Amino acid sequence: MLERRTACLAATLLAVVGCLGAAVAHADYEYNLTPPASTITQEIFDLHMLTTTIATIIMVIVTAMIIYALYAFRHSQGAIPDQDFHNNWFGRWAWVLVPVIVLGIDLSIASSASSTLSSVESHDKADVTVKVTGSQWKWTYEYLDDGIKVVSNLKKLEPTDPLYLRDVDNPLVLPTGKRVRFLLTSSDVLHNWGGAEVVPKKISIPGYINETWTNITKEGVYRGQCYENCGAGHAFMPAVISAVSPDKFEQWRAQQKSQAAQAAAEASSDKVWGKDELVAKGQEVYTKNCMACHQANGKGLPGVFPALSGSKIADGPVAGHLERVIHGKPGTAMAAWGPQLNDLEIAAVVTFERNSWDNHTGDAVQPKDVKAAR
Amino acid sequence: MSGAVTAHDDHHDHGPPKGWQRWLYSTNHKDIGTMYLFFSLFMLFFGGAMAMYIRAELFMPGVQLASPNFYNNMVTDHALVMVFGMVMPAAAGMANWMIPMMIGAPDMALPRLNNLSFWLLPAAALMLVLSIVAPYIFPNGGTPVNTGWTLLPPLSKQVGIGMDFTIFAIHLLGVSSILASINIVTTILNMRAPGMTLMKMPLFVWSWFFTGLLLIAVMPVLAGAVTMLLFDRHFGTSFFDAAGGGDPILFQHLFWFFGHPEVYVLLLPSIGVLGLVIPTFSRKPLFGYKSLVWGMAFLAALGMVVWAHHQYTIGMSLAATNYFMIGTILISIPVGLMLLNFIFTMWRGSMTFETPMLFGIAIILMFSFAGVTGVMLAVVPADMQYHDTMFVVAHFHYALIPGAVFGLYAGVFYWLPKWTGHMYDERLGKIFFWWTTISFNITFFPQHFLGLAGMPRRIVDYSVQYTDFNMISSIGGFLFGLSHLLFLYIIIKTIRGGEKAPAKPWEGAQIGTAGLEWTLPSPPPFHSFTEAPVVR
Amino acid sequence: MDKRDHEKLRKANLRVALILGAIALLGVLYTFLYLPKVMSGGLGE
Repeated sequence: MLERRTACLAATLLAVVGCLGAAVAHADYEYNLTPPASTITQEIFDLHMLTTTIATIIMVIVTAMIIYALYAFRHSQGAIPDQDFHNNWFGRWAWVLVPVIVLGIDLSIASSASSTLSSVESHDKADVTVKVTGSQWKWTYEYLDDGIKVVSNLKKLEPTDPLYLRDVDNPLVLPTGKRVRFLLTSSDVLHNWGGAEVVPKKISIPGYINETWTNITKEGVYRGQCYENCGAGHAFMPAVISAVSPDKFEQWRAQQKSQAAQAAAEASSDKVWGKDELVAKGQEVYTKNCMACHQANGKGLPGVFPALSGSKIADGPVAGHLERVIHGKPGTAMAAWGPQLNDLEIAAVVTFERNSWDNHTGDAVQPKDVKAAR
Repeated sequence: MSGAVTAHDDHHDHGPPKGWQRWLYSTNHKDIGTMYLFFSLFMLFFGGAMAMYIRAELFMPGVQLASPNFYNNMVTDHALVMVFGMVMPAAAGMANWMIPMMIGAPDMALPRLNNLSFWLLPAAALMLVLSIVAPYIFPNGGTPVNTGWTLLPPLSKQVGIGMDFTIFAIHLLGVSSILASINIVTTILNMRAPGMTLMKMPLFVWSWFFTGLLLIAVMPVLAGAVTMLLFDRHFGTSFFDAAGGGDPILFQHLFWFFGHPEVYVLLLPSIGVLGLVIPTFSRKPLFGYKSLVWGMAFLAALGMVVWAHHQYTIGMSLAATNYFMIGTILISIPVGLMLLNFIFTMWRGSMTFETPMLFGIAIILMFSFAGVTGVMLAVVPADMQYHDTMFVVAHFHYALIPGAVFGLYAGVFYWLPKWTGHMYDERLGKIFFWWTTISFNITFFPQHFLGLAGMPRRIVDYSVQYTDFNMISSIGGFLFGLSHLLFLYIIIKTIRGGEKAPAKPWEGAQIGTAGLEWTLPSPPPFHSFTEAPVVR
Repeated sequence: MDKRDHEKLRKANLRVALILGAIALLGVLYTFLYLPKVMSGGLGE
């Protein structure tokens, strides 16, 4: 009676699981690791399949043993316990047999893992080197050979969009069929960069540089995220890699180079900028770099990120404002922007902040002021 | 060992003091054990409520309930409360209750120390609560503790005053568990009844012996690490700041030097409970007692030297990474040996399926599963794909809920008749078992798929593709949480009354073990053994 | 238990507890003095 009732309950609950399972089966789902699209992730994927297969076999054996025991050795079926089972030959030697078998399985996994590990950690000559800097909460990609810099911010989308939290304004562009080396670092806290399809993860540590590499085999857009808790925006810093053919990559590279040269020339010229020009430029810089914390309305998040609108710094003397933007506030999420933005960008964003929301200072900060303040 | 105990000391004669004094000044191992158990029961619901919030927030994409910082604060404190507030005190409570009775000791070796190590816990819990509310009640309270239980700098340096309370809470919890461990190890070494040799001790006693040693070895390292963090935050040192010549990764090494053995601290007592439950309901002696004891010793020793497998992606040298990988994979040897020994104990036995046994069987099955996903995670290149995804979350919940928590449930049902003198309601116990086990699997099994698809852990919001599995997981989570109300009801019902329990409520309880706990009536008298029992 | 035995046991307990406490104290010192050196120079890169 009792057993039947518990069995009934179990069956009901199992049916619920079954229904949920069926609902899932309708959609297009991945049950396995994301399919690899580079040489190195292919190697890792094969290793993953090896360990998964071994794990499955072990689970099947263990489950079968338990089910057989539950079937065969029941008190209710009149099973007589064998009080000397632990004293027969098996009982005396199991402590040797079991570890030897497990050790055999272990070593076969470890040997193939070790060789894959060597290729993940290899430092062969790379065709392209990209420095990846994590900061709260965006990625900055620098192509060290070309002086190109790409700042990659979350693209704001509605939670119903298929690419919600998966898309950025500027992805990392990489060529297929070339060895790419990544140097990872961080400007504030720990971050972790990677995209399971093309490149295994490595952690970004402020003050230290980590290295990993890939060689992408298929063109396409690959998406990862930050994989180390980095504070309030941790869920909101996707890492998107756009892999294109080497020809297209060269085109993109040339275009970026000329844009970068233009921007640098503009920033270092002695031109005196008008307030409106600076505010317009500053708004762009603000949206890219500052809005994640200080918000579009300049009010920040109470208790977490200070407001700029009507603040003592952004509505006070210019020198104090420049100082805070260039050097940041140590020990908080406010980064030192001096090394990250050029004089013109800092001048523009400071001007924008001083003339937006409740701030009406009327200042137009010039690039040369920024240079002097550095 | 000393000779026969006579009722010669005056203060052993009278019963417990009345009212609150009985509890506040208690030096009685059973009373302190009871307080430990109730404390952990309370913390189970406290930490469980946080888990319910987490699953509610993750029910669908978008940030619905509270800010990302609050979410990560709950993730942090869910872990701290469950690890330090729930599992460890529950295991310590069982140790307090059962170890003196098993080895035939009149009480713990250091009864006043025992009182102190319990009463530090409520203070620590208060500190933890303060760390949660501090950002809201103090002016300039700063950011909530949004780091996760690993408290990794530099993020933990950005956190407000809540982090200082968390650090103090960890100090208190650390002192409490070190003192409790010293007490338990001393009791086991010095207080055994004549004839109770080490290799005759019930497995639960052995498991706590190794747990105690592990805690004494690693808890100070955590205390040191969080103290260094406190210095970095307030006194201008730079242990963990590259700008001052320090290394943020050092904290990870220190934390996991504690953190990995801590996993075995949580697991071993439950393995010990299994070592009693499985033979009892199989009605035959434990298979491979000696290899289980040595296996636990090996597990504890190996567990101390493989910590860096929690941080494979930090960029260690190839040699160091290989060492940690192979060391970690080797853990499967003692764990495999233990689980197979339990299966062989059931083999050719005569099993009945009371609630503790049901939990025991479920543990063997589900903990094996955690073991094989553990081997998958131990493989470094593959771990670079799984690292910090929900796959890890699924893995360690499979390890810790069946491995530690279900073991404690088995212990609770196994010993409730001894503790209260009443049999629990077997029908409700079985319902509770099926309810928790099934809802646990609905909660955590889909998280493996989420992790493989790349969903990071500790995120408040996720993209649309992860929605369905998260919904299933949340529904399972709510059912799992709800089942614990039944647990509470069963416990209260058993305390209040029920069928009278005999001294030995389980037919097979004393097969193949020298443990003395069943020779006492249920419930046992206030002072267990007035005359030292002799084990032959 | 007779008084002398009781005293003996109390002393034995205290001895074991003090040894274990000393181990714990050493653990803290070890954290501060030894591990930082090994980790930043040895296993880290």
